[in-house]
Amino acid sequence: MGEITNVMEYQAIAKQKLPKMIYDYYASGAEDEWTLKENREAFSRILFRPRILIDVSKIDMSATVLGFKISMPIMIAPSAMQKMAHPDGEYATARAASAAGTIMTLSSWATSSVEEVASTGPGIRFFQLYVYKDRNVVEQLVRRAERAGFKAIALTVDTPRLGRREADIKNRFVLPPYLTLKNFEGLDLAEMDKSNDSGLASYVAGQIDRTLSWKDVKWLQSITSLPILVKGVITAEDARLAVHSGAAGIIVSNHGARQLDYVPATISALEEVVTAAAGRIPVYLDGGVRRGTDVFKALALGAAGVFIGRPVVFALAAEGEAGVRNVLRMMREEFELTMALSGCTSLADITRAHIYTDADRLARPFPRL
Amino acid sequence: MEDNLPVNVREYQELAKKALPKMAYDYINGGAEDEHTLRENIAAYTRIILRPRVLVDVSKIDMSTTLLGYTMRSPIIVAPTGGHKLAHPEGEKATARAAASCNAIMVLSFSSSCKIEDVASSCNAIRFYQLYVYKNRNVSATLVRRAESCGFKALLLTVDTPMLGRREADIRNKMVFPRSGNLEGLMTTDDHDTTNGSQLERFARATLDPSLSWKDIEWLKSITSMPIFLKGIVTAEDARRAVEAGVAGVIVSNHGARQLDYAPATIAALEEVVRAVAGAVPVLVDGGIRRGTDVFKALALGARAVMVGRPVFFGLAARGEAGARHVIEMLNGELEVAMALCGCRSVGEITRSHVMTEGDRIRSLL
Repeated sequence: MGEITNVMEYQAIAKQKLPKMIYDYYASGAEDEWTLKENREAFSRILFRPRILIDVSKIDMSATVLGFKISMPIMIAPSAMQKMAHPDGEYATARAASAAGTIMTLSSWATSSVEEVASTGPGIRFFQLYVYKDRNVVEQLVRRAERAGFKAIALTVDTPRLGRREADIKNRFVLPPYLTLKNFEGLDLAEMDKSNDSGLASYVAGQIDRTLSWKDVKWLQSITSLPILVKGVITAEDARLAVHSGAAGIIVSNHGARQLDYVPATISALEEVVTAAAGRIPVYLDGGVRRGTDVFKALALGAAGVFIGRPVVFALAAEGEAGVRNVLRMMREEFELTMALSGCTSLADITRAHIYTDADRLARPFPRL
Repeated sequence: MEDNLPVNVREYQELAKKALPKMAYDYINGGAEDEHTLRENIAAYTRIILRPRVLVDVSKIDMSTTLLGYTMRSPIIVAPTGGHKLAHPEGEKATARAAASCNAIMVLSFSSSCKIEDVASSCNAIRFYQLYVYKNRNVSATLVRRAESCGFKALLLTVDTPMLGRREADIRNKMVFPRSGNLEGLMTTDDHDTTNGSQLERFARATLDPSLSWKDIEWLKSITSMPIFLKGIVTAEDARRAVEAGVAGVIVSNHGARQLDYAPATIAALEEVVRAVAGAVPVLVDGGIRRGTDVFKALALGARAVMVGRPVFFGLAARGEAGARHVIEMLNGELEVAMALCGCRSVGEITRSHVMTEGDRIRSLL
């Protein structure tokens, strides 16, 4: 194995190492996977307008997220069932995030519990929440996350039903029998039955609450004092509703293109959401971020930070905690270089004028003077 | 086998390709000339982006809609395609049973392999009949009357086929179309000329009436009380004339890209027609629908319902009646997920703002 030089190289290694069912679960998207490809391609259509002759000997990448100071605006997205990738699973991811001084978001469907992840040591962590039909389960889980020191809830709002991930349907995907959804142990919700479909799709159909609506954001606020990030908003209309609902922030996400195919790439939807949020709450983004340049582009379009999912899981599969650390290091170094070459020494220096989108080209066929 | 059913329409196409003789597969799969419109019918859907709304209670999804007063379980209709015995020995009788079991309306093709009466007696269901007008008007008039007396509920008059489009695969394959039982006793269908070209094209040239025009709508109304849809309209101008002519509905269709190549993709022409019709009559669309999200996009752009042709034929070719039924069920299932993930509980809640077209993107920048 040659030296890893970018985060995308971990994907090929993960594909070699993992059983097909598990690799496909992490890698695939919904139906035609148009949005999966588009999440990457839309970044590649955004170009830079670098500014030169600026002293960039000191670059400050530190960011503040919901009041927490972190080393860089690159955080870890909630990918489920990480022990399928590596025996250390979420522990390794948590340790790597702490070591890098950034935030890890733990999935509801983790193969390690909130308490177990908390016991790996200090660190700022968020908890991603699916709302189950049994609201008592949700209440207990949110309380446990709060007690375990998690700092925010990322409420997934794009999954009243599971998207049609055809690879999982073909593979009859199911959580391997030696693993459980640790947060639900003892609740009869920790295992996944094999079915004539994706086992996860059946699990979601059986357990997840399809009635979830904006009033439930209020309900969630009534059971926890943790700030709530609404994850899965990609329209201006819903961004305004999120602001009204009292959410602490929005995560522009299409669930890694795993839910509804033919939704826009998140980077294409970001600006619409940022404009609608009008600075009243921060807007974050996930989906397709593989390069430091992608992080810069998201920030230039108004994101307060980004989350990365698949690169973390693939690196975890390849090299465990060291792999995740390496992903965070590479992303950090690429982002630092992008800032330097764009003439930005702090996040506040990154502006809309540092990039050039398809829309800009159509609206202004000639670059601004 | 039952454990490894195809998971999408495209996989049925692969199975059909393996199952069918080349001539039959090329006949159903092929389009006119360069097949630009054939590709574009599908590609144009991929350029329409969904704008899902979140945090809507979608625990109950109702896909039902109505057409001519008939309630359908979902806005998916089986389009008229010819010669189902090319796909399966049971032909249109199998397709009819598949559609009926899904509570979907089937449109029987004028070029069906099975007799109208045999399809009608195969099972109880709401069915429509697609009509070509022949030079010998008696042939068409007879078939209209037979369809009507067999309980068919509407006529879909094909208006894009004064001559058959140049389907070059059929020309190369010297396509021989199975004789339709419906024409028995009405006219001679024998053709012993196997020298060159598509036998279907020769037959069409001999029979189809290229003089068909707007005044013939009156003639058609005079011989039937069935409501009449015009199938094959892709411009605002003709949509307005159709409304003036007093038809019951308009079907935006380019005949599965089998007639005039470089006609627009139907989904790209839909909105122009919907605007021109201005709610006077329902507008349907066919061509290129392969996903539940495609159905959703057509409804968002103003279609009352969609018609699906090749996918059902492929299902029939691959697995007979069960395959045709599975194709309709898969599209229904995909539409249900698309509606849930877009935050739409009924087809009435699907609005123009749930989609973004290329035109929208460009306009938003100006």
